[in-house]
Amino acid sequence: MALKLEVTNVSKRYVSKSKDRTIQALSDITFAVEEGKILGIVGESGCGKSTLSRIIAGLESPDTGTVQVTGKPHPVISKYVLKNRQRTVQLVFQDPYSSLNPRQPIYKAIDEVVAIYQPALTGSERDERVSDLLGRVGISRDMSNRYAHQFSGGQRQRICIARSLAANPEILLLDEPVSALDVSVRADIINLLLELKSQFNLTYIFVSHDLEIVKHVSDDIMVMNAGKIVEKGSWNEVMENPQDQYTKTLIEAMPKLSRRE
Amino acid sequence: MSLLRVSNLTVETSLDGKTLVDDVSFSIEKGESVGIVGESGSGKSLSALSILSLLPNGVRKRSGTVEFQGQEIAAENLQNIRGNRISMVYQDPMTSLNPMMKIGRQIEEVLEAHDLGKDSARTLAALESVRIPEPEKCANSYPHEFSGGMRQRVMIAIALLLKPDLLIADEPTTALDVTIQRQILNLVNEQKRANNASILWISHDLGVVAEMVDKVIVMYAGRIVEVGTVAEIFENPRHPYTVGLIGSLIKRKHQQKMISIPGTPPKPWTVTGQCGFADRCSRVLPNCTQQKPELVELGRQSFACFNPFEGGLI
Ligand SMILES: Nc1ncnc2c1ncn2[C@@H]1O[C@H](COP(=O)(O)OP(=O)(O)OP(=O)(O)O)[C@@H](O)[C@H]1O
Ligand code: SF4
Ligand SMILES: [Mg+2]
Repeated sequence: MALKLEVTNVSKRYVSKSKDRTIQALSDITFAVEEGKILGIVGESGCGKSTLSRIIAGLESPDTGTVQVTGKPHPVISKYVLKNRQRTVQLVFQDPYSSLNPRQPIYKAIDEVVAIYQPALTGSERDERVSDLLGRVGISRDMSNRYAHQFSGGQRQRICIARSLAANPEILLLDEPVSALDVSVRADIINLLLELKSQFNLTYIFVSHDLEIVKHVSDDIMVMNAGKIVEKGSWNEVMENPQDQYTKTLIEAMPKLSRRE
Repeated sequence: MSLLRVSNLTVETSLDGKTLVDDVSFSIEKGESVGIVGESGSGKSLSALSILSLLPNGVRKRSGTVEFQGQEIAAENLQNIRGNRISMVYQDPMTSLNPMMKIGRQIEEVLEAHDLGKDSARTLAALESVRIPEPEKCANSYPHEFSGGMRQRVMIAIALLLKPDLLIADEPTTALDVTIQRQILNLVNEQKRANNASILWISHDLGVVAEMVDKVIVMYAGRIVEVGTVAEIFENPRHPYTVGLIGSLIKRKHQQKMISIPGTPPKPWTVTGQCGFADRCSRVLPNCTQQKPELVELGRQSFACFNPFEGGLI
């Protein structure tokens, strides 16, 4: 299978606010994801998973190392590129509340992305495309003139997903996509994501602190601690036969629900 | 006689009388651990805060009583019970720690408030009991000098200082990393055993609740929909909401569709004269939209449903 994403020797260091310390956010991160697979990235706060997400999405550049998508270097987005170029990596964030513009009907939020990425479409083709995208995530066309605040958290996350899909991405980078949602709504969104992955032939990077969810969705799991990869492997290897001490501690710490099976 | 009995508690907004918690009743026995699970807005915190009359501004109790060891908790005995017999730990320790006061001093204040005098040995022992390394140094520091996990330990030390009969913990580990959460869970269990205390543990995380308690109360849209032992709730849930929740967690096959509940929970006050789960329920009957199902007891399990699941998780 072809490699969709290759991250090679990526390091990133920040200078602390008081400028007296440097923080090694990422040290020498190397991994690859095959096309059509789901890589789960787990770790606790401060382990570097969000920095890594931003670098993969091209929102930040690494100090050293490279990110390649389908064998081509993935450049950091300048404002110009953001508006005019097809983005193969799209980010979906944890908080569907803050990622939608409150003053804009959600139809518009999708429509403007379609307009950027498919400028050749006629008005009615564009309308069809917006309706189709909304339909795929289970939002009906007649709800689409409402504003973000008129939707529930789960619906807003669906809208954010539709908007990401409007850019025709090849990779979706899901950064804690269900952590902010009601418990009874999470399964619904996970089901939707798994469905969309095969419909759109996508590759996922699924970042989460929740080992249970990562275990369910991932083909491969990568465990991070203090800016380093401490373990990676297929989901069942990592979960059932962890090699690294930190991975073991993390699995041991999980509330024992999954052990009731 | 139960240690704590909450009867027909209803909480509403002060401004316009919107129902937030609807007719909630439950009891906790001496030494028993009880969990309340439910999603955001289901009324878990308001139910817990009502016990010690700690409801926030903007909401008030419309009706209901709380009895502690057979005696109604009222203005006269509240001060004696609060902190002393029943204490509380919150999700964010900074809501109850004073940021301007050294930790040791804060512990002494609690002791002084209960006429136990300034007792530095006891203060250090309390910090030691929650395994704070270097308790002297901790006593001499301000809350902001500590991580979230350490602050939560301090809170637990304060909550357990007077060996209360009941500890109410409202999502005390939700904001913490899993490995830190694990330490706090172990710590509370240890302390609970040492003091034979009862616990009311509130969480939206069923895994945590399953581990911490004997009996689970499931809340949905301001009402209790099911009560049972951990084993009953996990192996033989009866209410369709509980079945959906538990099903999505334990009946899953790798990358296969999870059991899910369509739609979203309603605001408690919009549910009148019908089952609050009706528009998400796969087992809905005509009755369900014409009447409120009451909590009925069947053996040691109770549920509020006209058409419950029978026997075993689907
Ligand atoms: N001070 C307040 N004024 C008005 N409404 C309130 C107030 N506090 C809570 N509510 C409302 O009461 C309902 C129940 O809230 P409660 O805090 O008990 O929920 P919860 O189950 O603890 O949720 P969470 O999991 O988010 O903590 C919610 O609809 C909430 O918006
Ligand atoms: S009462 Fe009716 S609608 Fe409500 S949970 Fe039971 S079957 Fe479903
Ligand atoms: Mg709460």
